[in-house]
Amino acid sequence: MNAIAGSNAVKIRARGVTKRFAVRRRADVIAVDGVDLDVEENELLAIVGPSGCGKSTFLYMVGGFLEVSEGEILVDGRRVTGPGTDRGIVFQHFALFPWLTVRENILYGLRERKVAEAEREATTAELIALIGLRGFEDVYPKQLSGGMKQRVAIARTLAIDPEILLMDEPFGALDAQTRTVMQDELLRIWNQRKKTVLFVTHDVHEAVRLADRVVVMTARPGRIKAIIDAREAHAPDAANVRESPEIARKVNEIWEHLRDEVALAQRQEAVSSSGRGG
Amino acid sequence: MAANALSDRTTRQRETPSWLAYRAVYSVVLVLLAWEIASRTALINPFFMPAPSLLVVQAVKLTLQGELLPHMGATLLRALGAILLAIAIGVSLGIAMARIAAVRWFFDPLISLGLPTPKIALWPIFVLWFGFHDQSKIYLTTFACAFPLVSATYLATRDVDRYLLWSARALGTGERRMLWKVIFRAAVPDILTGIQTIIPFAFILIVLTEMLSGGIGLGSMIMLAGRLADIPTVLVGVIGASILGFAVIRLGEYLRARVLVWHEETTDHA
Repeated sequence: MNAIAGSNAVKIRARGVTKRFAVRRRADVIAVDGVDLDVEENELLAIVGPSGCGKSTFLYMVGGFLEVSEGEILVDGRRVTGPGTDRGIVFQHFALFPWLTVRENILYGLRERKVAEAEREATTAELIALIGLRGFEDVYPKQLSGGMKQRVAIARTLAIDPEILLMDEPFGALDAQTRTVMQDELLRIWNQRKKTVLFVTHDVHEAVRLADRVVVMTARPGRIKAIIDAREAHAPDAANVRESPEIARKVNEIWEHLRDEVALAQRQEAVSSSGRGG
Repeated sequence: MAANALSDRTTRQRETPSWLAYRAVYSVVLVLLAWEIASRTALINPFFMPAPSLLVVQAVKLTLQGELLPHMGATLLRALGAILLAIAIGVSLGIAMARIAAVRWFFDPLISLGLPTPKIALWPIFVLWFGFHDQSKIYLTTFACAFPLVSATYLATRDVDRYLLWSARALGTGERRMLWKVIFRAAVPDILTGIQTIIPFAFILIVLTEMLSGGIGLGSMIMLAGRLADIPTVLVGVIGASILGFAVIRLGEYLRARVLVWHEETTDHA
């Protein structure tokens, strides 16, 4: 499987990335096993896989939140040793600071980076407009709907203008309609401010709609099973197309790869939960 | 415009009918009424259980004689002092335990052992160390209250959501600033809960130490009146202590709602 990119500049390079978790009185669990992957600059790359396949773990290692057990991850040729402001992250459950208002959440990173006040305010105002939350600046996260919270989380990350955006099932906690709207939002934002986006999802359709390439992972231990180019399924005005024969074809193609893995993951889960009693 | 979209939480709250608004006091009123009647009709011996109306008279009398308020004041100030000291010690030690392995290693077993220990049993030692006056009472109460507060703070600061910490790291917050910028703030609700739980303990312990030592304070007043079989004064003392504790608990609830405007639990954001 050719996971190595072609001509474009490589932004994120993973080589032999493995993650083992120690489990007391049992063999280590291998979550991610020898992943080689190149993510091109300004590419929107989605990772799909059955639950528990280590796709989020891989994302956290790119973010520098978890250490790799083996192998290495390079960003712009430099080895990742910890979190950095060059890699912004958006989580499934938003992880907004609940004690800060919408405006203060978006300001947070700018304040931490000691950006001058005038610039800070201008950036924040611009982002609040971008995510369509004017009028909600002084509201606390608890007063927002899930979709609004995720918009704020995205704006908070975009505020410090990271070159890479890591997204961990960002729309997984939203209802179907909101999810579609947010997918459009992401495409719109991504078209306005080109970034390298690494996107983890269990929604194959979402992956095909949004991503340039879709990486399919196996059940645990997570390896790369296939990489599918989804660009050919995108209409020129992709944001407005939710369903097309090309998209359906790509979704089916990915499902062909995924079906066995999902079945395997379910068996693993059944075994581990029955073993837990003993 | 924003306000309208956001008010779904507030509009869903029904208007409380006025007759229900004070239902919390009904049970108290009922008990007082039954007590009054039972005592007045000598259903219970009025010497051992004087009617509430007599207690009011007694409270007024004691107040006019200058015999009540100084005692209440002393008890209140000691309890508040002990609570504040316990907050200072308990919260800082709890945070230190969550953050510094050596501190945790040293204090964790001590706290676990000390939590169920009856701290009041150390009273003789505290008296020998700090004398019969304010210090021994306040320090013993502080000591007793610090244990549950250390535990509450330790658990609250240890269990901060890792996604919040990761978000802050990715936004540029370093390891050292994390404590104040994220960990402490995220732990505030549970720390406040810890503080609120020690308020009644503090009043119980202060009154108890006063009962053991004499001098000024509601506990001493109660003991002295008891020796003279002055049951109305004993009851006035007990009710006085309850009212003080209740007032401080309500103050705690008020401050909590002010501090936690951002929290899910605080609903009336008008």
